[in-house]
Amino acid sequence: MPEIKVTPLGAGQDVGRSCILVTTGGKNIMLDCGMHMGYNDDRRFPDFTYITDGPLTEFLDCVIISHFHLDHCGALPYMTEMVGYSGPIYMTQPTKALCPVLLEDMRKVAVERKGETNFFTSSMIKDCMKKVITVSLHETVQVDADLEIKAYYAGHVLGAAMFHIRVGQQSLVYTGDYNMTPDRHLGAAWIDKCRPDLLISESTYATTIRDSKRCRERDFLKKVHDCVERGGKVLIPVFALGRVQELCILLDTYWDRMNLKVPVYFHHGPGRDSQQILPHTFVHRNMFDFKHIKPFDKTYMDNPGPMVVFATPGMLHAGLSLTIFKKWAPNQNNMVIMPGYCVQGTVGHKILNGAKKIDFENRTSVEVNLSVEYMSFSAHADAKGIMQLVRHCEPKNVLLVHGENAKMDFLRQKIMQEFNINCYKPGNGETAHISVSSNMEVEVSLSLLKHTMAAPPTSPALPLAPTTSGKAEEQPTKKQKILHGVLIMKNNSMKILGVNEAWGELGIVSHQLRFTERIEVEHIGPVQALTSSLHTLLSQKLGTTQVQVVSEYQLSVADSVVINIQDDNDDPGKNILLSWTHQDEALGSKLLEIIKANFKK
Amino acid sequence: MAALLKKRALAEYCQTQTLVEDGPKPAPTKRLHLVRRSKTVDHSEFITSSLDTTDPQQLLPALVSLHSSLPLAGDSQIEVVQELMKLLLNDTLPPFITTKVLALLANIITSHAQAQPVFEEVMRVAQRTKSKKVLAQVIHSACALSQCIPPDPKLQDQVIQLALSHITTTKFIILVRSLEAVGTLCPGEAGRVQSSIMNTLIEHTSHQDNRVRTAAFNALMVVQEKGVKLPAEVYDSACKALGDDYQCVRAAALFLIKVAAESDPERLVPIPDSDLHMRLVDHAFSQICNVVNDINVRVRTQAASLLGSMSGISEKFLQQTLDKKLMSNMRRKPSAHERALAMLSSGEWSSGKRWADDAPKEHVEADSVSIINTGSCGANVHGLEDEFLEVRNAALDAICSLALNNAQFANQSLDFLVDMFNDEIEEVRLKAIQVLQQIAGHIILRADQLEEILHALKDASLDIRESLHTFLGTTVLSTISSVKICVSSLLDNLRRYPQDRRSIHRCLRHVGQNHPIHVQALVSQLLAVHPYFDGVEPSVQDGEYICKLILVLNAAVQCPTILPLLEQHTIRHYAYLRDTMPQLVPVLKLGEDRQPSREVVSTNTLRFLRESMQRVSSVDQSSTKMRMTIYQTVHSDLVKLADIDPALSPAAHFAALYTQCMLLFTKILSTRNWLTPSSLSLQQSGALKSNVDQLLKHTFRLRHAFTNLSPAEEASIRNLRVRTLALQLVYVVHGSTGSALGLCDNFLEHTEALHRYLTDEKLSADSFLEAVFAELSQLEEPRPGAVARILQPLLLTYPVPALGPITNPAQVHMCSAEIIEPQPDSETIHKLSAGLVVGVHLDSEISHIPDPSTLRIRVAYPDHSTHLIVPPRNHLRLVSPGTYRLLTTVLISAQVSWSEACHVGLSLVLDLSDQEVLAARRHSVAKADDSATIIQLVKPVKVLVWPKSIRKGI
Repeated sequence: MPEIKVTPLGAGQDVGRSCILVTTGGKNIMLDCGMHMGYNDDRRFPDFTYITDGPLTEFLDCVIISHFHLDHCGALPYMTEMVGYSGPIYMTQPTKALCPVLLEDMRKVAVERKGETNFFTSSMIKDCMKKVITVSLHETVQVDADLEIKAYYAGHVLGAAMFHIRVGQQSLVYTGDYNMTPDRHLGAAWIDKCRPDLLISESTYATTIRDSKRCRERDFLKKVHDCVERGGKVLIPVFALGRVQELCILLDTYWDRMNLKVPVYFHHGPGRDSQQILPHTFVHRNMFDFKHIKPFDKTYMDNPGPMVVFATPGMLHAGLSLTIFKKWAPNQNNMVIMPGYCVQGTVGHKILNGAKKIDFENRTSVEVNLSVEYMSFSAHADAKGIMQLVRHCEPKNVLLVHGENAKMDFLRQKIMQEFNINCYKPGNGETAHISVSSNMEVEVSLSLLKHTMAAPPTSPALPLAPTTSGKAEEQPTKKQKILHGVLIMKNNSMKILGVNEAWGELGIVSHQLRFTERIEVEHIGPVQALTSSLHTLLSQKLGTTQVQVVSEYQLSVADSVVINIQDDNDDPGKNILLSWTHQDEALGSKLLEIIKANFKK
Repeated sequence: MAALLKKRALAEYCQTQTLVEDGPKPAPTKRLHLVRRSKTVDHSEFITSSLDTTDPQQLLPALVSLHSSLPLAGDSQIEVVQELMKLLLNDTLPPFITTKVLALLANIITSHAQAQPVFEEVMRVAQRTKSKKVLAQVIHSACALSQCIPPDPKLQDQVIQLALSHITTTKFIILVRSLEAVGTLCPGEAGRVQSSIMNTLIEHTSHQDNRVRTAAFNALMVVQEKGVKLPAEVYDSACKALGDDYQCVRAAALFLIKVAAESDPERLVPIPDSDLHMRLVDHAFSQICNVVNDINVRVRTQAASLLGSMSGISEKFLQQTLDKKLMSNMRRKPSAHERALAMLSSGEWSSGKRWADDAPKEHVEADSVSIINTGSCGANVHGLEDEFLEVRNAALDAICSLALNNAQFANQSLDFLVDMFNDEIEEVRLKAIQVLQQIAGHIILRADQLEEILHALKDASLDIRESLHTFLGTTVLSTISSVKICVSSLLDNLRRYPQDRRSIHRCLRHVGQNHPIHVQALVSQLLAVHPYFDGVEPSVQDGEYICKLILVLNAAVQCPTILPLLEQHTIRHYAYLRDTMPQLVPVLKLGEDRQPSREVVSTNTLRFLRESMQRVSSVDQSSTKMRMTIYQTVHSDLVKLADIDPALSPAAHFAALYTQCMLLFTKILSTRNWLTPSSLSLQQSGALKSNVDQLLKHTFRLRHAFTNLSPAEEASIRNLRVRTLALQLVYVVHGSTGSALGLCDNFLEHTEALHRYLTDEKLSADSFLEAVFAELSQLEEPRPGAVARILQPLLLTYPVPALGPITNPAQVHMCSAEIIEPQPDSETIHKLSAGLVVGVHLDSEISHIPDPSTLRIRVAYPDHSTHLIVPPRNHLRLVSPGTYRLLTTVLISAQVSWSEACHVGLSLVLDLSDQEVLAARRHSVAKADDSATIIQLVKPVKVLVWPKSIRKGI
């Protein structure tokens, strides 16, 4: 029984460090190569020694990166340049554009701020990106003769993709992170009914069903609007890439709609490189080009009057957003909106918990009088979305990764219950063996198929055929039929051909196998008399149309069996020479019986 | 008379033709054009010649062009059919030709008599042909032919036999056509044929080819529409087909499920894995709900729209469609809607400072949660949250139609509808508001919901705001504070978008009428009335104050206790508003001392109109001078009447204009020596000329600006017009040296048209016309001089008849317009760089224009040049029957800079130059000045425009 082996090196019963090894049909594929943001030691990268010590090139057929988030691509330069891998890496064009930007940012933080050594360098990131092959959505890429991959739209972030991987008969779908509810700038994930053997799905929100996004958006917009109406300033701390685009579009269109004139600023921070890359990537709607949103300058901070500012970083722990916050916090007209989760210890976390006064290291403190709002904008599929995807693509098995163990249990149980299929959730380093049924693919020649379909149904159908009900007879097209043909195995493929086609195909001259029987009969008289008596006899038994007189010495039955009558000179009797081909065995033996019974010596 | 005119026309026609031929090099393009036109117009010649070939390369284009020239005229049709039959008999032609011929035959033939022979030939083709495509087309065409009127059951039987005999084929196209044919021809009454057809169709719903499955489902639909009861298994197979891989099959099955459920709603269907049963209609409903999550947009859209069309669904299922359980980490979480409700009922407002006040609360049992949609769970919610606006729109429609029949559902869906106000697509937002308005009768808005709705008043889109105003005018608000929020939002809206003034006024009027008690409680706040201090008297020019007054005064009609609350100056302002905007401010029953001085007297305007017209007709025999005085007074009376009584205004205008024309006529005819203008003094001739021009303009206006007239009135106007043209002809022939040929033609055409009109309407011509008809018919050749000689005495002998009494004065419509924006007294200066354009926003209401396509915006520049601008079609919206609203931007430009801002006049006109006067134009009657062919609808509004020279060096 063939099987697909899946070993998560990261993201097994865990969020972060996505790295999944898949072995199917003799191919080894690595899905994503991410790092863990929570660790600063060796644990942040997947354990590549699991595969082998040393370069990985000969052990991996390809690496596929689903999107540019660091927990999906963060370990890529480490793997390719420091561990050693020179095989193909696949990702979508936007991912390829944005990935090095984020990697470089991360590298800077790790090396320049935290002073780490033994980290990959900028040139390594560049070298790594040179190995990347881009794929377009819905484009089928032939990695090698047997392995093909196809990307589907996944929503989530720009360039996120789901991959359909096919090796011979076996296929699997890896979702990466995806989003089943559409946004303003990203649509919902979409996949066709590809019926893979295995679906590897993320399960971040395995136990959550979310509210309509419109409520959240409306709250957000209304709060911003009310604040600027009463002359307040709104600070929205954000991360450079990802959801901020959604918020920008949201505000931009709203400003347009409501005809607002209050300035909106966006501080690009370290992510400014992305500005220069993306306009080339997107032709129709540049996600960084807005009508109402202008770049921020530090001097604007002190400007009077209302304004809205997007500033990095997102958790208010450092940088410009914190500077602005310090300035604006004492005024109760102002507002800060936290669009995401904040790590404990950051200013963001403190004010969300209602701190009224924040102390800083240099013994300064700030009164927090401005209103603090929390808005969650996340782009993962919730439980309902995951179930929907499973329903759309109809897999035979599901494997959950990228989620917390306890939450996975619930979803796993639900999937098994609702769809009646197996569901796995291996931990890191644990291998899941998924046995798949394998079908033999056999080509059947069209002419043979048509010929067989056109032939009248053979009445004693196969035992499998539904012969019980009378209905079956009403449906000639549904009935099973026996197909006679030649099975040819050639060049790793199998074909069923009609006999004559097979001869042509194989270059074999056809041989006829004939059985010949000589029957001596006692018959006195001219040969013609015997011929005619034989003719009448056979016509009686077989029907007149079957038997023809060829000459006075020869009869033919059903155009294939030849009966020769010879006058034996020595004996008084005659010889009847009966000759039939191998195919007409039944007819030949019947004739033989008839003749023997009637003319036997 | 008519004969003569015809003769004349013919002579004219020949003459022009010879002119064309003899003329020195007539434009060759025109002749080419003519030739080409005759080719396309004349089908029969074109086809018979081109079909007479056996070369398929030539034949196919000919057939295709034949197809595009359908339908054919009666006699050419027979010819074409014969030609096509010939082609059908020709076996050497390739199959694609035969297919096309068959398709054409089915298209051309509509009557049974023709169909019979063709049908037999078509059936013979089925025997002969080897091509699958031809065979499929034969079945299709035969099916169409057998349905020709009257349908022939014998032919239909043959087609059914033919189709059923080919049902075993493997070729999908034949199968599809056969299924279609048996579906459409299936007999309505039960029998052997019907049952065999049904069996075939049901069998093919599980065929291996998706196209065949689709055809089978569609055919079942057709059969069902004929009233054949579908067996239960059809429904089952349709349900199964909802999981089909192909969207076309799913879509077809979806419809079938719906009709099946409608035909037998009460049948009980077993629920799998249990002993329970549910009603078929409920089952179907939940099946369709499931499809709202389909992978394909079109199927989703269909499913969402079908939801709305189903009726008789159990309450339980209906309400489930709005249900979506939220959970977070396996704990039940209240949705934002529920939170808002809880917040409201607990009486506290969102602190805004609480983080995660949406934190999940109670624990959920894993088994009790069903994430995948079973049944109708959350279908409408999903539809509203869909990625595609088509689906969202369809879901909104569905909710609307479901909510109209179910008040409880309406109230539940309210939250979701309000959410849709925040959609990113304007079309969806607009639809949400419209839906809300339609179900306004069922719902009572909570204060928090109202707040969300009112937020949309800040929207920049005019449509959204206006439909919201309409909604607010119809809905019922529950509390005083709601009314207060509503009013303050509307006032805020007015501040933001002053152009909404009218709409807001209307809205406040309705709000006041609907909530008198609530308004009463708010009066002192709104009008700033203090118990013992006198406030400052607000200005009646203040827009907000007017809005508040409209609200209060309308409420006061039903709640008289408001009146004593009002201050003295408010009552005075009421009198002012009652005068300026009578349709917005109702009549209040004030005490004697407070009654505004102008009392509402019962006027008899109608009688006055009648009497005035009577006066005009009674003075026929009086002296010229006397008549002129009377015409003058009657005219000014009627114009005043039109101002006083809006209901009679069109009729009064009509009569006034007519009287004015009579006056002018009398004036012209009484001018001494009017036929020899050379003998007149300069002043006299100028006056004469302007009188003639005036007369022409007035009659033109009479002719085109008024609609809904009785035939007699119509005839009298036309009569007046003809008379005017006659006058003009006589005047020109005598007064000037130029050719009057065109004028003469124009006059004759009008006369002829009037003659036709009178005969059609069976009206008798008056003595003038009769004389004209009689004289003209004796004329050999209608030369201008000769015609003028005839007309001259007639004009003098028969004075203009007075207008008969208007049969239905209230019904007469006059086209008119009102420019709402730009405001006439606006001080804003539109500045622009010379040579570029500036857009001026124009908002106007136009009523009773006969043809909207003739509407033009007339821009008059200070240098007396005028431009007519055709407004874009989609900027003109129909407000109510006969009334349009034009919302557009007029582009104004100037080539050179002006030294100061000058007035540019904007007005609306009807440009009728392509209609009646085209004939005149052809004969070069109309001069370059187009004022003869336009009708002014409204007085020009002056806009200050200041083009400045372009600064160099930018």
